[in-house]
Amino acid sequence: MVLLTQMLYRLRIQVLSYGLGLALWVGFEVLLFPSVADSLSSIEYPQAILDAFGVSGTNLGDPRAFFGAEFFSLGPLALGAFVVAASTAALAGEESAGTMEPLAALPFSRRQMFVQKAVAVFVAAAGVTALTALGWAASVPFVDLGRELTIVELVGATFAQLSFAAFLGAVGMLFGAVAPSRGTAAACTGALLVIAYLLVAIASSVDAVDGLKYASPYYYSDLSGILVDGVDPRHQVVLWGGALAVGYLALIAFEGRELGAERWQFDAFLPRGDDDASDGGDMTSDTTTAVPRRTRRGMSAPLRAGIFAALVAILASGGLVAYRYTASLPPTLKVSGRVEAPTATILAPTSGLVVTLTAALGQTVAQGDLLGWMENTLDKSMVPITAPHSGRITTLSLDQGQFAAAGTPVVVIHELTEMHALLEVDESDIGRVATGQAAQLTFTSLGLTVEGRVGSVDTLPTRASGARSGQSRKYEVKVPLAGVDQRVIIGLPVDARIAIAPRS
Amino acid sequence: MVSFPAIQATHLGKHYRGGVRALAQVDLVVPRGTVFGLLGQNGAGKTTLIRILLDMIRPTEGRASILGFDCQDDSVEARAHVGYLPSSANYYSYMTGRDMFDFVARARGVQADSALLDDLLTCLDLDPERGIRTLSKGNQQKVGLIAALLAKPEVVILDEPTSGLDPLMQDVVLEIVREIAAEGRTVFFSSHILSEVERVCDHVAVLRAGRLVGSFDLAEQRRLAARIVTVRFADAPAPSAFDGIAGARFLRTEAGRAVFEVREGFDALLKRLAQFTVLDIDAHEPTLEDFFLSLYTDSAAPAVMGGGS
Repeated sequence: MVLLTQMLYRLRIQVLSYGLGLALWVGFEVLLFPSVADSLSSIEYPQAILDAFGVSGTNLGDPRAFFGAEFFSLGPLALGAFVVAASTAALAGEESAGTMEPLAALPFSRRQMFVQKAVAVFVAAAGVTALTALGWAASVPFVDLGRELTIVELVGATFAQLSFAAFLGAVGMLFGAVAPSRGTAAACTGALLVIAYLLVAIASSVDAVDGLKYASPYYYSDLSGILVDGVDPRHQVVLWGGALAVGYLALIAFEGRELGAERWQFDAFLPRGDDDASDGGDMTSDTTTAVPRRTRRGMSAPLRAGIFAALVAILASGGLVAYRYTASLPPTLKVSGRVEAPTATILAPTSGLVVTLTAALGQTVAQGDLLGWMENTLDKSMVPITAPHSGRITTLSLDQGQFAAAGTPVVVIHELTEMHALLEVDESDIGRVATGQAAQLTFTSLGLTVEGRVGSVDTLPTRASGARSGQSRKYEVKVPLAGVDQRVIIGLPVDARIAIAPRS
Repeated sequence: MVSFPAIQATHLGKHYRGGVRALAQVDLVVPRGTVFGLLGQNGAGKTTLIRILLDMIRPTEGRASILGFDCQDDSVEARAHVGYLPSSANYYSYMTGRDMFDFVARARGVQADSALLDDLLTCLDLDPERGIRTLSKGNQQKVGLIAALLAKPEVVILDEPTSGLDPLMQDVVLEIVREIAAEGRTVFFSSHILSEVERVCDHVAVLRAGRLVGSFDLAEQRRLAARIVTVRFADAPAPSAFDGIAGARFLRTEAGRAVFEVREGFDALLKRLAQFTVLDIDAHEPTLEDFFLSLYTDSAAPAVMGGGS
């Protein structure tokens, strides 16, 4: 633990400065959002640029898209820079700074040194993340983000960076264990970070090279679309598994490393050949009595080669499995809406006096039920008022004893059998929604989640909704709710995740 | 009872891919309770040998042990008994000297001996509250030395401990080395300065181009106390003029000067020199170079005699 705490103490300034820097960044973005949301809504960005920044949807005025683009697609680079610095400082940095020699003379095994340093780097990255999360917590309560985007979601998404950070840290430790100097290790790790980022950016804007993204660890972090699509657990397994595998390689490399020798050291991975057998020639005759050359670490060469091969196989198969699964994984679209049902307005069947009106507000009626009688003013005939549909009475416009002209609305019935979730889908996503797709509906106020299927998709957009002008157009999608829980009532807000078709 | 030597190396060798041979066939036994000097020029392999002992680099042949613990297989146990001062290390610049001592004590799981610490701080004239970043190279060296000695290790390995120190402090360090040996502990130290090795060491091993070329018990090797006398003549006589001087030996001619090695008094040499016109005369302790040259003269290896006539 001594090395762990010492390393954390050394990193404290960096953790504070990075963490507070990122916290200020998110705080600034949050406070900025309300004032720029309107203008961002009306700007039409080219889709390729939005794709490259991981924006789902075309509307940067939406808080999920806004923070996704403004923080979660770039923030991991900033945290990544910290991890690159810390992970290469941990061991390679000690060597380059000349502080490794006194340290290595202390009675720690290489494994102890490695593990303590690695844990310290991870804890430091977690500290940076926690400070970033404080940035959300300190700013979001003061701002209306418009839609259902909570601090919990933002904080959770912030901490989701840690799997990526862990992988990057393991890579940094690996380069630190084989590279000649800390600078070289940091340059290599930093380059990998940038390449990982660019691969995803290029892959998502150029359809022809879409598969490239599977080669990037950044893709598996799900960070660019995290506020919209969430995190795929399988991707997390890939990243954490990769971090452990690379970390183990780094451990082997560090155990085999010759400290103070400023050269690339891949020897730890290579089965040690008998390359010095021929060197006996230039020695004196007592070579034959020489003590046999010691094998390093007591681990035999075939065993080391086997472990190395197994790790490579695990990494490769992990990548393959991830590719197979993620390629067939149907993406989900998160939308919101409310519960609706078709209404039938019963009009006065004749002009005259409402003699009786037995219907009551909230009453459930069946088709053909008698709701009351009217007396025709001219011929004094009694005309019945009947329900044209089954449903629930939601409006009563007249009372008994009132006079009404023919065609005056008397009763409004909502057709409960036709109740549905009416969801508004952005024009950029509507092409991927089709009838029959599975939809998961969540009624937050009831704590209720039900499964359904898309029943119909509008072919014409609704009018531009909301107060903001220039907002992108919405299409209405209906998910039938027949036979749902009694507590689900008309007008209830609902969140939906639709299993949409993959972008082709 | 089996008593393992403080340090033992058997056929120790280290070469790198590409054929660079840093160390070859080194056999070495450092008895306990002695001060053992490792002499050699820069690049002779002193630091390589020491780093193998501490498992920082791995030998390609042979083995080494400290107090019987194999330096590779039981390196943690071996290092638990070793205090080490590197030749050119840096120390955490954000720490003060005292932070560093506390850190080392915690890392070793020992209680810092405050009496010993105060003693060392006084001897070495070091302010432990100053940040390491503000210390001169020499004072950082003192921090490293104290950190190496604090846990009272059984074996103390010092890589060029006096380099960077002023002459007064060099004396103090050598005095500390003597005291450690007086307590029955072992000091293994490397140097390229013959005089300091001569002053404190019981044993000396000489490393040259990765090979051990000499190993001496100093009590018997009075030859190390020889003086090198360099004489400039107005008119240089032939080398044969210096044959058979009692207690002195002509070594070579160097840049027009005659070089002698004097072991048993200057009298006979001075009387012989008086036959010629002497412009200048200089007498000094043998440098390492002199030592090597005489070593090769003794073993009749003329190939290395650059200035021989």
